[in-house]
Amino acid sequence: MAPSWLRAALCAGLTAFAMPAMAADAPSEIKIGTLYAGSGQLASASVPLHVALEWWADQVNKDGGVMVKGFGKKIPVRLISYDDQSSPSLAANLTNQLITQDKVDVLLSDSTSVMTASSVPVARDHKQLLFDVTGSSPNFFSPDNKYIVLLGLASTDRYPKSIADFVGQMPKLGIKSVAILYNTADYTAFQALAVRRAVEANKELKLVFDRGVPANTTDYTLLVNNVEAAKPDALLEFGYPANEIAFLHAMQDNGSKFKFLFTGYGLTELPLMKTNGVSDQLAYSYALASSAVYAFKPNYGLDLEQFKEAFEHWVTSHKLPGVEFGFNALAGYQAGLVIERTLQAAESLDQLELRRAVFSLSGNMTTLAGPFVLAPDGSQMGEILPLGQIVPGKELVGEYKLNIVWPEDLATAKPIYPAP
Amino acid sequence: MLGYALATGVIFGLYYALVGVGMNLVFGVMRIVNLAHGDFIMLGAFGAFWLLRGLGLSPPLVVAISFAVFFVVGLPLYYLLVPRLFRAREPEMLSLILFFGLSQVIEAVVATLFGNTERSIPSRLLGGKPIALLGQTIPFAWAYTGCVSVLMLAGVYVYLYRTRLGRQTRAIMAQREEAVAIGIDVHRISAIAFGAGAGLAAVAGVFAPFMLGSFTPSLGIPLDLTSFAVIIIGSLGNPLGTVLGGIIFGVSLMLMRTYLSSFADLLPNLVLIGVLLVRPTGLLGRRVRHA
Repeated sequence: MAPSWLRAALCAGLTAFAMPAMAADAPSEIKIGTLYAGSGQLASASVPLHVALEWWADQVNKDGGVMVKGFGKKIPVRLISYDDQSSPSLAANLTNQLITQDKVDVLLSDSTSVMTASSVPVARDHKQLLFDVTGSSPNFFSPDNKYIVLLGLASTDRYPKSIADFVGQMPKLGIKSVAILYNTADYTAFQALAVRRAVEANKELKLVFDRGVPANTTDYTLLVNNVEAAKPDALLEFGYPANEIAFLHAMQDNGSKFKFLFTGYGLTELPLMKTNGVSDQLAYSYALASSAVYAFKPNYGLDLEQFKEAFEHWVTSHKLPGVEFGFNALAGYQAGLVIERTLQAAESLDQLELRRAVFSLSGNMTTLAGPFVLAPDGSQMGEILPLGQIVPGKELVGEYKLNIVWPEDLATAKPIYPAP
Repeated sequence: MLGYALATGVIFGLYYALVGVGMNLVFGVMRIVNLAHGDFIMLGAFGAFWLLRGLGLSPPLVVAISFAVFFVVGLPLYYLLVPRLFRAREPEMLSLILFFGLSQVIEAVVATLFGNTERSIPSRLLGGKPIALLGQTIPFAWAYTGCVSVLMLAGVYVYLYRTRLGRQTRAIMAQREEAVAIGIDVHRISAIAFGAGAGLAAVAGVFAPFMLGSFTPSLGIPLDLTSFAVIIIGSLGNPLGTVLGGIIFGVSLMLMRTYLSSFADLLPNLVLIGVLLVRPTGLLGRRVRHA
């Protein structure tokens, strides 16, 4: 056996030999490829998300870059972004370009299931892990696809759990008939499906109206009239922000009132609804308490108030007109946080190693988006949001506050039904 | 519900006729396809947003200002772009490319300056209360828009059939070379038609937020497609055929929204395909000469 001083010297020599090699292998930058919709139907959802991601990258680089465990040092990040113009076919081509030409280390999809659908098969074909920010369609996830993880919200079949569970409580409030109006895109159609199943499973409830509308529908007047004609006790409406604005405008124009109204995006993008002059229609309506308004206690990253202040300062200082703080901005920051922690845990930039690293965060990280918990297929099981009712007060935008009404253990108030 | 769907379909049809009539007038006179037409509508919507919501001007004044401004802007735009197109070998094809480029530039500039967020205008700014119709209600804004559409379309009719300039315009639409031969100042008449097309688009834009819910800088291309469908169903090159096309399009859309809302966008386009297969010149296409 060699003397201890000789072993120590050998170890020191080997370490000294290995360190420069590790540094030499380290890339000069971590390339993060992403798509965003700079124009088109989905721009209002996508742009705030991308702006938040840019802010995150700027913050990371000001701090010297992101720590990459495999290289034992901080490395600056470079965001490579392409505008897919809300076109799924263009998104597929640009995803391919990010992988094959830009050779990005980390691949992010655009916001929404509509756009993510284009990137999923391309990423899988190239064996590139897709960091799926908000594309929550259950269709994207299967046990045989190792190349996708969902970051920003629970997958759509789990996402409406609170409202689907609450449907069982409706007869206790006196609700007997239910109407469902939904955008036929995956994200909203799956939510409607979960609620429809809950209604159909309850013998005391009757589904009196159940209609889908194309994703680009921006006029709901006729539909709102038709819903009113069906005389439901409760209306549950699922749409993207552009749908919600049009839906609420139609209610405003018709002077329509529903005793129980649930909207999918009314609360999530409340500032946008306020800007469009329709937020008054949301009084006493119900919505899932999005992480943009419900303050989770994070164990990593900024909390809701801190991020909101930083984001709004960034938007103002960079003169970004029309970019509102909301769930999508938060989802962009959430994506940055997950990437950051993944790289801190990854031994290399190999795509399956990135997958292992991101799964190591599951159950151990809570951000401002809620607990980060991955199912084995890469879909998000955490980030389940409680059901809230928007009531007069001063805690939200303008003159509203939020009462949590379900689940029971989180409830802060009882539902007010019928709406005054 | 059937009666309500038909009635609202006619109202929307009149609005869609207003959306398409400017594009059809330009095509009828110049045989060029103005793909920036939808962007003129989008700009009209932005103008209404600031004038109605920002400055609080009265709706009739906003309509008048929008028409006048876009008419005046359309005149130099015509002289800048269209005479050059006519010197090309295939002006129709070239116009598609040129105006598509212009459309993209307009959209990009507006998006850069004002962002992509949805904007809308509260209907109460048009005044009035919901109007009872067949046991249901329609927003006052729809009735207002329907009336303005009728007035604007009537204005186009009067211009084309009751004025000297209109007769000259129809002469060019019928046979450009013969119109030149009898001394009509083709460029002057065409410039007026181009300006009028832009003005009509701007007026359609003023009411877009009320009829289409909300708008973004990306509104242009979908409205171009709607305009195409409307004017092809009616008759390409015949501005008054646009009224028939608009009503068929509007009624189809509302029937689908009432009975099969998931496929609401499908029927109008099926009607378009059907018309093209059965009567390629459009329903009122007999009087149109081929270029």
